[in-house]
Amino acid sequence: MIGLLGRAAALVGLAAGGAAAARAVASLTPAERAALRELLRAAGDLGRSGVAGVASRGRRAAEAGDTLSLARSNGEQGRYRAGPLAVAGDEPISTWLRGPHGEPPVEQAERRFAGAHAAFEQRLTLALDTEQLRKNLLYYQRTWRWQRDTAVAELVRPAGAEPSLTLDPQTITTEPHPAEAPKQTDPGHYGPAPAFERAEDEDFELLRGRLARIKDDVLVNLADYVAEFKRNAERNGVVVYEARDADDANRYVAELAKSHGVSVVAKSKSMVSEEIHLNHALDEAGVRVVETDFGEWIAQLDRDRPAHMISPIAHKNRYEVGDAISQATGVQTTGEDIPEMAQIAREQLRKDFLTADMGISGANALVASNGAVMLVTNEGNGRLVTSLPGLHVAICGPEKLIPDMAAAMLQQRVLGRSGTGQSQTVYQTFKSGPDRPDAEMHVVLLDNGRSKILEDSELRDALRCIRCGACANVCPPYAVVGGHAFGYVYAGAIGLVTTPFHHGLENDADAQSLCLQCNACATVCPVAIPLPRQILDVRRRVVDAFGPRSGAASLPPYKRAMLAVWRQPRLFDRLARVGVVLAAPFVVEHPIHGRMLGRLPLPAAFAWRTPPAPAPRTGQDELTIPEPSRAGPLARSGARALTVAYFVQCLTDRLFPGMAQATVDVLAACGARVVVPPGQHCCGLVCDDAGDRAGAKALARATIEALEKTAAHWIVTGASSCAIAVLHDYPHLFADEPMWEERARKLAERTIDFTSFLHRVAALPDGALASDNRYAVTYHNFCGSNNVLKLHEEPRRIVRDVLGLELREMEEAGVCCGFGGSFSTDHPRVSQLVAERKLANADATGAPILVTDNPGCIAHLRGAMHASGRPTRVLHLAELVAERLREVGGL
Amino acid sequence: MAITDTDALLERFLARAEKLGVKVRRCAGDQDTVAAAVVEALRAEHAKSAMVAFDLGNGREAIVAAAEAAGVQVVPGDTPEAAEPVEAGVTRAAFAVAETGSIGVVGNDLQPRVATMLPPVHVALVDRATLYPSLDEAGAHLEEAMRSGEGGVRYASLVTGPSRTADVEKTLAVGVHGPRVLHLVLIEKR
Repeated sequence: MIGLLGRAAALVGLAAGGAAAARAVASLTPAERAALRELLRAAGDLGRSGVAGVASRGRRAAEAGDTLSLARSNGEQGRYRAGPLAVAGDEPISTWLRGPHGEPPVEQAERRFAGAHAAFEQRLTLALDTEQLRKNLLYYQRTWRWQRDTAVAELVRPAGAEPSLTLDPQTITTEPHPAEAPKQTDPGHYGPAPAFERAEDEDFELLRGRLARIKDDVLVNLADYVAEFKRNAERNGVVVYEARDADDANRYVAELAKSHGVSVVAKSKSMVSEEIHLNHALDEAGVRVVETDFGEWIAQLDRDRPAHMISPIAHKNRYEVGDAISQATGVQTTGEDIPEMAQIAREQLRKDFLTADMGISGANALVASNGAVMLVTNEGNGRLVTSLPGLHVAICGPEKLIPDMAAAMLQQRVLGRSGTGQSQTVYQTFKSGPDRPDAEMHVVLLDNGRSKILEDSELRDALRCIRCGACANVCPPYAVVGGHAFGYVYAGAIGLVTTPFHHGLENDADAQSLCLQCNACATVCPVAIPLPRQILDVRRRVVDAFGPRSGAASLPPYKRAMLAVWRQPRLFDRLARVGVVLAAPFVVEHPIHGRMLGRLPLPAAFAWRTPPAPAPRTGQDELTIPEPSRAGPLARSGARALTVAYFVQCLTDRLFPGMAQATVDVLAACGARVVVPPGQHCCGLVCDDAGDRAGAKALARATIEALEKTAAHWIVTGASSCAIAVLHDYPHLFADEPMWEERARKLAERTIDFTSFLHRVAALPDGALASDNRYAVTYHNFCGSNNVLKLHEEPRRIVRDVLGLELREMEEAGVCCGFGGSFSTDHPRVSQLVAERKLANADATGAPILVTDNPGCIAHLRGAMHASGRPTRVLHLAELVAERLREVGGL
Repeated sequence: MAITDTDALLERFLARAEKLGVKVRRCAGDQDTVAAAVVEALRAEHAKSAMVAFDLGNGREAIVAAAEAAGVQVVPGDTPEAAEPVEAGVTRAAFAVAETGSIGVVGNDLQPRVATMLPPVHVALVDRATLYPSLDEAGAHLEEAMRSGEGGVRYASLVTGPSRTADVEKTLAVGVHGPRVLHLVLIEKR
């Protein structure tokens, strides 16, 4: 927001009315003026560069030539294909020669970062310039969501819906089988499910919790599990090879091919083989590799890269697939008929299955108790490549280990549902050794950076991943840019965490900025990996490795200037007040959307959203605190006689003092005594999101100090994002500072978001503010409220039942609006496209009012509504309740 | 391991299988009715040739005879190359799973396995007595069957409906690399 403010100020220098501005600037100290100058310059650069700048830098990078990927994936014009992975021309560095976070040697940091940065921008621009891509991806995500939710719903379906699902407890075998004997060091850590906590009697949350605990036990005792697997597999005649990095694994497989005289390899889907570019290595060894998974086959035919772990060609539609088939095979198809194309694949690949000398597969799990590899496929290619050729190599990471077949079945229940929305995948195959005397089976266990993740207490949980791809399927930026823009094979949230360890921190540094921190991934992850928090941890490492000190400057200049100001409350306050004066000439008072910077000439990339105008006086300056209501319609709420401290939040304070007033008005109307603790600034979220851990801690400490002194029963904020910061981020932020962690925990006990306060504490009764005037509103769940606080029905009850309004549900109400704090400035085009998805869903309801509970969404959506000429009002729930109170005479 | 066999379980299995497009025929346990059901399935798919798993047991001869009598050429299909042109495979499933509508294809021998993989039509016999309630029991079964070392089976699959893909536009297409149709002959009692 300060960036937009800065642009306003930069322009004002050229505008008329400079006298007031000059006076305001003159009131600053020299140091303050320097900070302002820096901010204005960075903001000005941002405006000038925009997206055009990104595109031209990408082109220059492409002209500079690249490694491996560019030549292989972008050979032709026309259809969209993956952009380059690297343009630096540097050879990949083994994971063993990198630092603990996957960072390159210090002397190479700047050069490698610059190369990776250029490649990222090229990939991103290519994706954004392909409109068809996002149509395909959005279709994919929506279809997956529906199919997945349907399959997950089976897990909690009550008896009424499908009576045959209800099994009679008396007749079911429940004794645990021997394989369920727990192997963990801590008894009770996990164990056989209690008698009827099985199958559909466990819902998704229970299943994923149980699987997460099993995987944690495996990770903690990984060496033991690897030893057990090896022992059993070797007893079955399997050769197990532990490869330390990509080169090592590639060499092993290529030598195996050579020593066995292999000329054709039939391969079923393996992400690990993509991770190490195994096909390339085999190609160089003169071996022809045929991808047999339908999607992988298309990607191979089209000289493209898979863009998704489960659906490799989710980015292509049927016509693009048809084109690829027609061009590469000569068998003509329009692509209209998908079964026809599947039939072509069947016919084309038969010969390869029958003549291949070697089959290569991945593994969805490795079963320690019997040395089996578990393979999950739908097409049947996995069984063919592991059965027909006499030589089979399975390649995977040791983190795929599970204790036994019971765990395999547990994993299967969530994998199929999370991956493809199936209750059960068509083929779930176990192979534990050569199945005939002349056959050979090898298992390559690949490290390639995994042991570094294992040693990393912040990120270890990421190794629970079972590669379902669900995190990409709910990721709003993924729906806009697809997997290739993220870069390497593990696209989506999990890849942001693990890619640095496999491919280098510099090669995943920019992609970190594609995360909105909407937390949607965490809600669907079948092994409950805390992905959003881990992504922030990686961002911090990116800033540490490629920050100003390394010269690589991973933070854009505007963000560095902004953070420098934000971190210092007094400087922030002084500049914000000057900003009000500088912005004054651009302010319009819009009858629907309020005070906006409607006259500010924005660069094209930002013009889709009008910034809100800074308020002349802040919320903290001018709040009027009403007496607790004794007779109003809400006065007998559960909040009566409570003291409530109002945690204003920085955006609300500077941009929306009316929202702050509405919040205290409603709290007082509920009978609460409201106090506003002095000295409030920012919770630190702004810094934490940017990877600035030190700044985040400083602001968090200041916030704790400002708020903990109050004797109030509750500390309420209208900014759910900042309630989440206190409740969920502070414990992690202060994990290494027990004193502060304790103070943060104490504060968290009393901290609550406005919506939860109304629902849970005030417990407003149905009909409390109902009237004959039932106008329509639609509700947008702020992603944090939806995904972290899990507020779904609560705000709806308030709108529909307490206020008595007509609630018109929008589709995808819980999908992020695209704000994401500085995300919308880092990636204005992505942010715009995510916002357009939200606006289209809101438009479809026809409701004249959109309600939500976070000021970030409100600044963003109000700005987008204003810039696009939409008449929809965007209100905070507090504003809606306050309006209703006035309407029924309660204010 | 005790296997529970109740009407509720069977109903559950049948509902699942139907949802997956699996075509189920229920029949009594005598060899003639089983063979008749297999032939009915082969006819429904207009199969002109079939391979019958070597490990089918006692009823194998009756099935081969009935198929040949119905004009279906029965071939051994004892190598993948020989199996490739065959239109249908007839095999026995080791068990079935009510939770998922799956059948268990368990064993090291290639000929019966190939019969479940290469031909476009797969007809599987499954005993009602082997119906497990859930994947948990199937997992326990396989834990024992696939134990490491001497006597353990090295290859097993749960097969749940016909081969399919949804890689293009998440739209279902069946019969990609495996069978396009799965028939089950559910043997009530033997």
